[in-house]
Amino acid sequence: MTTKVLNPTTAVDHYRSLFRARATRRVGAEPPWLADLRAAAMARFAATGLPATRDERWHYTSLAAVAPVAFAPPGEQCIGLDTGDLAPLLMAPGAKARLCFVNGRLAPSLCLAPSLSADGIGRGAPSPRGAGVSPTPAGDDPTGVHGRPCGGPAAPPERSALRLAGWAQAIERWPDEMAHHLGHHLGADQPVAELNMALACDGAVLFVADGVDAGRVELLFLTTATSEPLFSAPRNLIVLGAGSHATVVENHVALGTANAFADPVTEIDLGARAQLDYLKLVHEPGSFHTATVAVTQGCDSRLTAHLLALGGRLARTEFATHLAGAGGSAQLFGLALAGGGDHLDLTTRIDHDALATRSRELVKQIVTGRGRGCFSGLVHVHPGAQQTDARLTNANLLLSDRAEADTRPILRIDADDVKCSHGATVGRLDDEALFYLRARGLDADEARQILTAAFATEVVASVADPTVAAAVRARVDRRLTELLEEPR
Amino acid sequence: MLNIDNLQVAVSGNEILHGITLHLPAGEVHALMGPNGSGKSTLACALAGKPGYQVTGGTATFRGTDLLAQLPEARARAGLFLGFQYPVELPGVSNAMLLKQAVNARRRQRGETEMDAMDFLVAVKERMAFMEMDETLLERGVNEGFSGGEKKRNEILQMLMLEPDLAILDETDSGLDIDALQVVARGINHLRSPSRAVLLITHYQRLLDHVAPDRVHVLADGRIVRSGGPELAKELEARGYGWLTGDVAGVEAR
Repeated sequence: MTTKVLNPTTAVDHYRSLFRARATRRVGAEPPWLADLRAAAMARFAATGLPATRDERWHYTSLAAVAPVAFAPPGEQCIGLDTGDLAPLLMAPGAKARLCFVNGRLAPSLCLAPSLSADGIGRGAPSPRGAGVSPTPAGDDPTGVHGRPCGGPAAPPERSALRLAGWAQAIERWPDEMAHHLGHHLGADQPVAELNMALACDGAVLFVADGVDAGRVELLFLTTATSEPLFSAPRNLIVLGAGSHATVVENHVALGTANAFADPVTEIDLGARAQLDYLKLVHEPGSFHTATVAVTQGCDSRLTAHLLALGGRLARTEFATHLAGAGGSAQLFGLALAGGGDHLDLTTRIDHDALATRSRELVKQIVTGRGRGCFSGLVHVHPGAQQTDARLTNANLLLSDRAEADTRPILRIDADDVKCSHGATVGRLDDEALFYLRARGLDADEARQILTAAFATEVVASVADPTVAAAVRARVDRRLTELLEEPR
Repeated sequence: MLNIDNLQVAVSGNEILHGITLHLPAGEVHALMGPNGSGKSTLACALAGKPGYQVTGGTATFRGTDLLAQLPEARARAGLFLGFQYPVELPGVSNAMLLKQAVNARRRQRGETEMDAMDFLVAVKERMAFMEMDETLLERGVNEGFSGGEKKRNEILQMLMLEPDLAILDETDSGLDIDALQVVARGINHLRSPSRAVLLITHYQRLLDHVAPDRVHVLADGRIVRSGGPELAKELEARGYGWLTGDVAGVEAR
């Protein structure tokens, strides 16, 4: 492996040179508004550089190991995978729509979407009934709107019930909506999100029309081991129209131990009464992962988010949801399983910024070996956000003396008629519980396994979609077995 | 079945049991009574192999084999059952799953095939009906949110499923109302057989109104101070423990 080592102070120069290289390649291919967005983002990133631990949100996680490595996007790549290889990795098997990215680039041959090739799926042929003329009732079979190659009358793509496309197609086909949303759901001062905007070259874009049930969609981001240190910056956008439903799984997984730096951003906009079940999983041993997920929630919208981290040399997810409309609710579940080589960080922020909004957050971390799990959770009740109901809970299980779990739950309350609580615990497996199981004939290892899995159960069992829940259970159990076999 | 000779047990370096001798033959039910702090639970925990209960002297054999050399799980699989005074709540561990794992661990030990899901369900439902337990408790976390009575019934349910040769029941009667007490007693009586033995640890005499013991032993300050027939329990009920606790001359239990 040839790894060019950079002087840490030149990290900004390195990413600026990547920015220039891609700008040169892409001249004429991107609309001016996007080029302007990118240039502004690059300028903001250059002004700050990679986040430092003096930034409160990066208190637990240093990117010092990322800075000196010349991570770069892959050149032309031969994927060498077929859909059969994906089966064991999928978290939403049976999903009717799937986009797959390999090392950050859309891999059309691995996608599941009838007319993806050059266009968005929605381009194909929306069914007459679901074409957005009259909203498809929730629960109605949405398959007709996934776009059969030919069929009903060609409706304008903007009015399709469900549109799913890779980034390039989305920019080309839906520029106004893309310009409307890109960057607008993110907060200020997010250097890794700026870096993503500057360098994003691909990603998934999903629009669900008003009243439509989109069913299950899986976005799979595969990293394959490469000889060069690999940079990827997927940029995802999920927009749910009023009263629509969707289940979206964003699955980041590395095949083997990869030397990669993934910097994904997902922006999500939920219209009034929209309901999204969102699940993000990262399992990238040996890699760096700095994800940003930013949600804006309309009136009476309901978000359930599962943020699962099963491994990574450094895997950090910064999740923020802005409850901007009255009556909105957010349920967050986090689960981190950190083994010897893992540093996992979940940083969340919930902004209650409208009347009668509700949030529930439960984050569990299991850490063994020399692993580290870090949780920071901020709940901010803004002035005027009366009748806010928020609860934040974090529990940590340490399986070794060398493991470390950090927790920082923070409530900031600027309204007076609110109900807020938070709590955090750090502990070990309970000796009484272990003895109870052994006294029933289970051996010590089996008892530890059962109690460790039980600690994660509350989060795993909260996944609503039974197919996704079963896949999560299997992945979590497999990872727990590995963790318990590690030297303590 | 169970032979304890001059057993001394320490916890955190403090000797709690100063030489217990007790012989419990197959087919018999013995009651072990005594005031709080006398060492009753310590004896139960030491026999079941709870970590932290250090045997500093003496022996205990179960069906002729050295009990004290075995891991707690091995003792359980060999047919020793400890009914816990305070059954642990295990959120996230399904009651049905634990029962099935426990039953199959014991069956494997005996060289029997594992119970399939159907047979297991039939067996467990039959016993739950016998114990007047709500079947929904099966799908709950082990003891999770169970009332005190439900926890104790659940212990007896586990015992009936595991069919142990030796049951040591540590204050299974505490915290039970009269109805629950009768159900628990029925479970214990159901297990009684010429090939099994039961050690009932209790503070009060009232369980013994429903489960007639063959012998009664009184423990005080880590020693057995008196052994006798069922009439001893009646005497204790009438007179309390005071008249015995001074009497630590060390009466050997048979």
